[in-house]
Amino acid sequence: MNVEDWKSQIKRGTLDFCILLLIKQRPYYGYEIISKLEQYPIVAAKENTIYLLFRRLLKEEYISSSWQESTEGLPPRKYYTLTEKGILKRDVFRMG
Amino acid sequence: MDKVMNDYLIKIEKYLKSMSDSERIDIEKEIKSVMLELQNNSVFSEQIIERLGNPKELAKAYLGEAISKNSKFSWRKFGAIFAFCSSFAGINGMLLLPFISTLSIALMIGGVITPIGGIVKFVGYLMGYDIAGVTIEMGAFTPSPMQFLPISIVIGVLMFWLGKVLWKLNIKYIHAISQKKKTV
Repeated sequence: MNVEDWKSQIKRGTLDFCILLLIKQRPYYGYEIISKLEQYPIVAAKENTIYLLFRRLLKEEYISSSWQESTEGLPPRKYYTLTEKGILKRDVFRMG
Repeated sequence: MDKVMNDYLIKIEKYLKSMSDSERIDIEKEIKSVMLELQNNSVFSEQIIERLGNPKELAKAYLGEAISKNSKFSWRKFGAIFAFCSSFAGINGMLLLPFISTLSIALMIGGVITPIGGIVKFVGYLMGYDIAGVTIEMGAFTPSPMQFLPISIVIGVLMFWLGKVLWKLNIKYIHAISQKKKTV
């Protein structure tokens, strides 16, 4: 594995953790999370990365999602919440 | 939703055709929602599609994710692998992947048929028939129906197991390709 792959792996792992941390406090939708992460350059990532990350976390059952209709003019939003498994994973991340 | 964004959505739709309807609709709903959200925050359409990335790359990642989400077998997944290969996999993938997935299925099917053949031959033997067509010749040795039964079971299990292993390898390879070139 070359350095770029390695760096990319680390960033992905950090992103996982950040997302789980945020969602623990309350449900977030995609754009909120991206905006929040943007404040910290080390984890800032573009939509194409983040939304696929969500999909992976969903498949691994660390988070669950539900669509919520928004007020007029705003698009429906997919909110993500932490599952039991996600809470455990977050704790494992913390300790490690 | 202007022309730039609509064109983007149409492109994605094209690449995701082999997905199950519910999954594809969910992905499109998600992408539309992202676009509208960004638009509401005064981001220009050109910037929006830049942030989403090349539609082919995005679709490749989504499709790869959907295929490699588990290594269960389904005919739909088999079809999706072919679609993935024709759009995304490059020369290696286009030759190798469809071949390996077809081979893995053939092995799994063969792995089931072989012991069935062994059982049929054995039952025929018990009833006094010799079903000549069903057997294996190993060099100069041709097993009797009684010997053939355990042999066919062993061979069947091995074939099935090999088929499964190949199928899982296939899925892993697709997962790896779909992750490549992702800019984090």
